[in-house]
Amino acid sequence: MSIDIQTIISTIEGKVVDYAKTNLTELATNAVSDAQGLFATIKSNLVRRTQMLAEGQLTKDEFAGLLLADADLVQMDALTQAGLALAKIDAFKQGIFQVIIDSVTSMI
Amino acid sequence: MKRMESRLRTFLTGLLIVISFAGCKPLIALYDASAYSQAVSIKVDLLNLLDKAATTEFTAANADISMVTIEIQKAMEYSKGKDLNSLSTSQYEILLSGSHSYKFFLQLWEKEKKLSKGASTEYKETFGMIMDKIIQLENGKNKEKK
Repeated sequence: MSIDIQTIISTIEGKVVDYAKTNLTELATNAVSDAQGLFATIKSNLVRRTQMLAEGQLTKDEFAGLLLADADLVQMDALTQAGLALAKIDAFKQGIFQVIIDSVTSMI
Repeated sequence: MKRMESRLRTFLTGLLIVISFAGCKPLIALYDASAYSQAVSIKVDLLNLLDKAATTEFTAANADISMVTIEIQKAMEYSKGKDLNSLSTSQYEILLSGSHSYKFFLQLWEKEKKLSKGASTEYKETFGMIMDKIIQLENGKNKEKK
């Protein structure tokens, strides 16, 4: 049985590129969407709480505490996004290796 | 020619094995159902505590405050004990830190004796989202292959 190494390499290359396009695009899209959502939430919180402070529904200390909570939320989100990205990379690595393994074993 | 093909086949097989092992080291810990369950439990108890902050004086809520704080401490220690889990651990460290919002909330409650209803509602919203971030990270970790 002859093995055409060039064909194997071309096949693997094509499959890896397709796999990367699908999975990495999804990762980037989700990250952008999450960031936009969080920004909108923080902005809306600030507007509402400023109004509440003006109307006496919040004390100054409570307002300050809520600002701090929003800052923590941003930090928490950054940690979450970093972790989700690492998990995606792990899954992506496994996927790439599987693509390579499947391509090669089908041709050996 | 046949010997060359045989050597090529052996080489490719060897390459596959090396790639398989080289690719195995993960960047982050796998999903942990206990950790997920802890985070959900903390969220529920913390939100209940925030409700209490508007209706109950700080001194009367000491037992509930201790319960929630200890729950967070346990979750942090559990997280710290796992490899490749520093991001989740950092999230709990933020919750327990003296310079962050949970401790500030407790100090505020003690100072004001009771928080305003508005503050309680707003804190519930934000802390709910904070806990959701912790839960989201845990839930987003890869599941162990069976």
